[in-house]
Amino acid sequence: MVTGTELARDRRALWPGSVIDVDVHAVVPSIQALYPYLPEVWQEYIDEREWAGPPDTYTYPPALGASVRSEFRPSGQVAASSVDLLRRHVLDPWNVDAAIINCLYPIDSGHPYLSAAMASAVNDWLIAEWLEADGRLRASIVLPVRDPALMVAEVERVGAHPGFVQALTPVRSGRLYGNPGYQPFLEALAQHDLVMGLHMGGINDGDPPTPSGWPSWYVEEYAADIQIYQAQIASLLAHGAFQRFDSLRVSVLEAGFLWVPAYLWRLDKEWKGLRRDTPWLDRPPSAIIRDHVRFATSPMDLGPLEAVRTGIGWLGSDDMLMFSTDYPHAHADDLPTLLAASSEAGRSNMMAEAARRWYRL
Amino acid sequence: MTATDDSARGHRRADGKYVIAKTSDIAEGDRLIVNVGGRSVGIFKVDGNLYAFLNHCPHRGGALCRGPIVSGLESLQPGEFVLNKTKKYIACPWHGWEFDLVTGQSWFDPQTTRARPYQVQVESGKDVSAQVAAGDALQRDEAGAQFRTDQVTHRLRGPYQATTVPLTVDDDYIVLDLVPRRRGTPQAAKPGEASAINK
Repeated sequence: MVTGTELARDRRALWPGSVIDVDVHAVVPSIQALYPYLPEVWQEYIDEREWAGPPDTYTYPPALGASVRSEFRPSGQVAASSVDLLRRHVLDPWNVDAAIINCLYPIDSGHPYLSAAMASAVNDWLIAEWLEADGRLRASIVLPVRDPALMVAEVERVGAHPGFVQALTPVRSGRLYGNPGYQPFLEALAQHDLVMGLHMGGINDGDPPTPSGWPSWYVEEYAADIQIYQAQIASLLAHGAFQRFDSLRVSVLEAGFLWVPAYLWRLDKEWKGLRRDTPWLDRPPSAIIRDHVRFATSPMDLGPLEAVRTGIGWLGSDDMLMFSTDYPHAHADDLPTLLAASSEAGRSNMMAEAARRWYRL
Repeated sequence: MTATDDSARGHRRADGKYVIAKTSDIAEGDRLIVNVGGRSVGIFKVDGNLYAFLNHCPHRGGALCRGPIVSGLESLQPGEFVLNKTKKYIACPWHGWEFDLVTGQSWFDPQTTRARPYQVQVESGKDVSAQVAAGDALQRDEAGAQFRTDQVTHRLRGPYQATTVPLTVDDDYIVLDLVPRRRGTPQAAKPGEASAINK
């Protein structure tokens, strides 16, 4: 099997043009790593309780190869936890023009004020230890998504920093993001010309990751997440978020993309019959989504080359995909197949140009 | 009169047009579905105007004329609903596709999908009575036979039994022209004619 590092070693042969990686992860190695950026009141609060920080979901398998590639596991360090590791594993071998960091540290403890403080701490950690350490890096703002007012406040606090090009919205939210309560947040994104980054993960307390309850294993949970992405896209669409905020752009990250064409067909079909529910949708959902939504390429759920070529064709656009390594996950191995299946314009857009326009890089 | 089993038949006149019913047989907001020349056609009275449609949705062939008549629903921005009662659509009962009652235009896919509109004329009862008396308005048996043999409702029989209908010369009749109209031309009765049915 081709590994991520081997792909990167053959990078020039694989793709001689520019590369922008829209989804790399920065891992907070421990809650204490955030202390320089966390008010003392919260440091003491955490110390008093010997709290290790919010846990991952019980199904998540950090030790599996799919979670962290074996060659990306440094001895004595948490994987993907420093800019040096990122340089060595992604930025240099891929010779990227830019890479966008999505930090998935689960800041949401259920304590609304601690959660907001943790989000701010992660963002300041990203600025100091990542964005200012390497000019190729951009990042997503981490947000306390339970409370739209706190989300807006954090966007206002750091949104003007040139390193932040996106706001991270975990795909599992307490309410779907199209709901009117999130309008001030969407407005803040529009004002700061920030992309909304829907990414795997989110609030789990009490709410299972599927509406029919808890999956038993990660394989179920991870694959089933597609339905939540679909619900979020439909929510933003149906509530007219893209009419209300013409510049609103949504990146769908770590969701795959070959499911998208069939979903667009379904949305178009239902819209024709249910048009009166949402009369502000003045053109087919697929056309609106092609203008306002892009999809990161990882995880690549590819089949045979000809099938992939057909599936990409069904997207109806060669400007909807954006390359992502999904570092440190093992999610980009099929890149040679994806490149072979893409048109010339599609390859150039996918590897760098779509992201360059999307994120104003 | 409301009839949706299309067991009613039109009377074909010498000029090829079909005499359908008296305008007063259809109440405001109601419809009449008739089988004329082997084709099922719905006739609607909306805001005093008459409209006729082939009872066949161009999308997947649903019985279009059994769907609801709905007002225009527009929006200037998300969350805002503006009901425009001056515009009316017929929505197919199968998939909810809307067609402009005046033009037959489908709302969402105007380039490719248009319901088939038919011309509706309102002619004076005096003329029609004369045609019936002269044998110019004849009942067409072959087209509607399959319905007539097993179900002819008493409500529908009257106007179409030309020889037995007691006509009042001042009543107005609906006459249907089964030649499809050209695209883009309205099929509502002309204003002067339409006003006659409100007498």
